[in-house]
Amino acid sequence: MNLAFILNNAPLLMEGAAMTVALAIGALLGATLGGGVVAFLRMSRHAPLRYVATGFVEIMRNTPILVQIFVLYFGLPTLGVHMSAFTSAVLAMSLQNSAYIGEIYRAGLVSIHPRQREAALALGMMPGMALRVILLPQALRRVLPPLGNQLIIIIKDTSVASTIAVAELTQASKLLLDRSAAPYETFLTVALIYLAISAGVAGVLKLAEWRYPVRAS
Amino acid sequence: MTTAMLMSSGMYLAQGALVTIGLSLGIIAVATVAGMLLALLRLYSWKPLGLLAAAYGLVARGVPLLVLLIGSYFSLPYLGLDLPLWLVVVLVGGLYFGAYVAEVFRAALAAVPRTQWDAGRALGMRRVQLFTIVILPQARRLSLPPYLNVALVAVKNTSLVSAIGGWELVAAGREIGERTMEILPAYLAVAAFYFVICFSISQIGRHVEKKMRYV
Repeated sequence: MNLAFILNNAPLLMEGAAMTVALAIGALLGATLGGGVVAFLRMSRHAPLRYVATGFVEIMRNTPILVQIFVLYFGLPTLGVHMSAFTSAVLAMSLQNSAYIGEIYRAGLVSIHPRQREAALALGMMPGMALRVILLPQALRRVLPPLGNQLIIIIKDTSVASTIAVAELTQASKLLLDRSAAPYETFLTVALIYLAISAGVAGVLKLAEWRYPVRAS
Repeated sequence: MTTAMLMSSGMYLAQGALVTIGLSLGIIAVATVAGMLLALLRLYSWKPLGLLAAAYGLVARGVPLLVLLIGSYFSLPYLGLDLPLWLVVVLVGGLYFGAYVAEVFRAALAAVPRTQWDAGRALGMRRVQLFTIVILPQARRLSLPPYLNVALVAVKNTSLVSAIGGWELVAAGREIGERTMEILPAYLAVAAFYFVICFSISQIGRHVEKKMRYV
């Protein structure tokens, strides 16, 4: 084991880890918003909107994130659309996870018993208010655990951004590998950093689930 | 692009898709065996072994597959093991997805009612007999939809093989894009191949799930 080598290159690895977290936060923000749009369209009254949303979800879920990133980063410039590697990676991950998170939202809303909505309307609430005050607060608690699982998947998927040379953690480890003959030290360290990030996020999510438990309705 | 070029490009991508399917089958086979073993360890074995299996699951599910692939492919030669790329992919991918398969099997085995064990015991069945004849067939049906879901993710993740210099569907698409300068159509065609494979798997899963609902 060559610990000195790892310690000397700690700043590079930490910068990589920071970029990994930035990618994950960007994708999470994009996907929580995009997921809302997807869920709204999937539950729309108008059939064409539903079909478009269903098609989007199926395409996003049945193709690899690597190919989606390549289409945006290598494919779109041939149409004159240029994006930085970071933007391409965040956009691709946002799009794919919009599909997954949209389905999570939808499942959460569908799981609330229709009588809850009927009761709210019977009390004289407008449909919008019933959604905001009665349905969403209950659905959000049910959505929290699967949303957390998806966040862990997003964090791991950020490693794919290294294939278009975004300077995140996996890319940093590849640089160290080219520079040195310490492959397993490098990869053990990187694996531990990923593990620490996912474990930290999982811990925070457990706390949130404990603070906002699902209540029987 | 002429028709002949389109034809030969399509054939080339189909070859890549065959490699992708082969790698996926290898990974899923290893993952199924490893997952079954891990699930059995966690549920029915000596406690410390069960904890070890649980710890393995947490580690495998907390690290990206790409890191494990790069790490093992470049570290193994330093440890004196010079394995071909495809074998590294099948083993590492199989052990990685084994952790996910283990969760699927564990949940399915735990979902079989305890009374089934009691009834089998009352009939005088031995533990192994009871497990293979009574519990396993019920758990197998329950686990099929989530198991297919893991298989689908495994197929998509074989695309990472192109990032460590392997040749499969994505690499084939990249070569065609570079040769014909039609980069966007090439990658869209690659996406279409993945879609056909993965959509078939998810449709089978959906079909099984629908049938289960009325049992």
